[in-house]
Amino acid sequence: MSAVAEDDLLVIDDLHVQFDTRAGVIHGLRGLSLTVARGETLGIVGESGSGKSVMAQSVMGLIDTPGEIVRGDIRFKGRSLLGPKGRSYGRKIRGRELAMIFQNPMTSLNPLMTIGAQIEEVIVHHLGKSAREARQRALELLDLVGITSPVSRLSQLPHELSGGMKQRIIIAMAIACEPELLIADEPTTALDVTVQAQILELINDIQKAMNLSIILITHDLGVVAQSCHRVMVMYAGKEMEEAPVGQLFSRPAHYYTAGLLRSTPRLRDSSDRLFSIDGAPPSLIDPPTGCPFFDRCEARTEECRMDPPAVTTGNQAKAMCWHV
Amino acid sequence: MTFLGSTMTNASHQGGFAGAASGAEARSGLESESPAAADGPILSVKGLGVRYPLGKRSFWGERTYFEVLDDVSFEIARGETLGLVGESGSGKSTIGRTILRRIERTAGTITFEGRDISDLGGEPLRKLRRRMQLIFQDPYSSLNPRMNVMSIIAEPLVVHGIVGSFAEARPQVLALLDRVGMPASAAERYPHQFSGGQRQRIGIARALALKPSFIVADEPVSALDVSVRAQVVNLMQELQEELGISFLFIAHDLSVVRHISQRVAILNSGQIVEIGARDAIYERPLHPYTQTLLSAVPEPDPTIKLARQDRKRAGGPVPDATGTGCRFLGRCPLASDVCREKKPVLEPKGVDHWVACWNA
Repeated sequence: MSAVAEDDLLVIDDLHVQFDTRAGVIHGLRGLSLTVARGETLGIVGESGSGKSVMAQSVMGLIDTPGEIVRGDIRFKGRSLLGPKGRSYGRKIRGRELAMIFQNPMTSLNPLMTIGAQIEEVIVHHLGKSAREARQRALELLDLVGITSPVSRLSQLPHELSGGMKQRIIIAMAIACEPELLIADEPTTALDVTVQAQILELINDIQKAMNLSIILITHDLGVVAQSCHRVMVMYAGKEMEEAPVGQLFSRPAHYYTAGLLRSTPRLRDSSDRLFSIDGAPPSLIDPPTGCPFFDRCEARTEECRMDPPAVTTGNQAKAMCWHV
Repeated sequence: MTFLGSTMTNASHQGGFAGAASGAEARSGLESESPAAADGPILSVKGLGVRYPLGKRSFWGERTYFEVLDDVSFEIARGETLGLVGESGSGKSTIGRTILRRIERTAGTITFEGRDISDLGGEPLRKLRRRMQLIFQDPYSSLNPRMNVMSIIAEPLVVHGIVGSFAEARPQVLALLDRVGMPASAAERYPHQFSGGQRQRIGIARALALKPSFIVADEPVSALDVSVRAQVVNLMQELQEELGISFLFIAHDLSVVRHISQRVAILNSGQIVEIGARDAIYERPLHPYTQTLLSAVPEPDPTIKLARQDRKRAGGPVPDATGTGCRFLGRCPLASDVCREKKPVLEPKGVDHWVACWNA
């Protein structure tokens, strides 16, 4: 157990999350397992409803009624984050060893507090520093995330900053306590391409400088290709495939991954027609048994109605498919 | 112009009393006019400007303005798609809505189907709205949640007096649903029962209901997932081939624009910096802003590393009172003195390839 804890910072084991809504029970996650090693960036790719954000919220302890973790385990540095003991452990590490940045920089900052007050609050609360020390640290952080004239920024309010600038502030707050794992949920989706490129570069730089582990959640395969070491593809609350980034893009094993790659428009391709996967993801209220991609898959056979096996497709690579 | 003037006075006489009958007349008027203009572009925009007042420095001071659009000119041929690309705040949506006469311009002319529509008002403007439609970005907020799909698609037909009642519109609505790949059973259902892609199909069906010749599609696929996005892009291309509709396709995603457009315009801070045939723009981008944009797109291929050129910090659009100089100045690697003093104008740099830059 301790040997495992050395390599794998985060382990998610057969996690099931459900939401009891008026329309019925939504099966948000249906047996998800993953590991994140130290210093690695794991990309999580999936369409809306695939369960990527539910996974992040489960790790951050943000699943609240009507949501419920019904089965499985989440371990950070070998210790469970679930159960009564896990909850108090979680409270201790979240915000400190475990940090998260959210998709929309426009709504993640308090509009009534200055930038300085918001960053300093994090430092004072988690690290118990004095106000003066906190201000000093805030300046260092702003410098680290590439914000010019940090002194004057500290007294500004969020509305005075652009979207990219706000996302930099949020990154500064997330790394304020030198976390070991950073979960970034669609960190660049709301930004323009040129700003997105800057933010991705910043995240990559910080990762190298701090030897951070990152879970990067995105629907954009371009973002994954540019900044992740390993990728997991999710669909309808389940894992479809995982592989090192090079392998996933050059030799996708799962038909869903291959379909996603083919339907992604490319800048260097001037063909007039895009490949498209027919149909839509299944309902999570009454999800089908067997392979969730069944209805849309070109290679489906009768056995696909049963749960597909996890086929090893290489080092640290597997695909959940009968036809690999 | 005389024709235009006469219809306008006509409309002011009829005012709000215009019924279905006069609607049919005016429509036939439009149709009889179109053959004359059939060779020309469907839409031609010249020197379009939109500005918002920013207030005065002092009571006697001069009023300053924020130039949202500055001297924008382009044409769209019949059956063609012009992709309009720019970052947030560049004025992409403003161009679309100014053409549709939803936002009032402060300079320039808009010619649609050979007819100056810049100052059209009242009934003629209402008639014109049938010919040009809008597809919205967000399929979650652009459909009325309390109307069923039947009413959503039939509403424009009823409003414009093409059918007498919602019940009468049924066959047309079912045909439209079929055309956008939705089952007839969708008609009785409500927007919340559909996914994003399906809702966007409903939005497209509504836009097609009045048989427009021109559609402004404002980021129609930005909110959709990858696999569904491809379906909707392909649907729009099929519709174009079948119905000969011209599109102004507004997007910030350069890869999608490359697939759907025949021509592309790049917009920066309210000015078109480069415009031309699709492959010319993508394979030989000449304006430093176009190059910056293209270099920032992350390729879905880990072997191609991002080689972005934008080393200077991005700034938002700067309110420009004087209007002198190039608006890309602050971020431009090629900036020189002339860029500060004189506004660059679009100049031909190849076959259907125009660039507004002093140093390109």
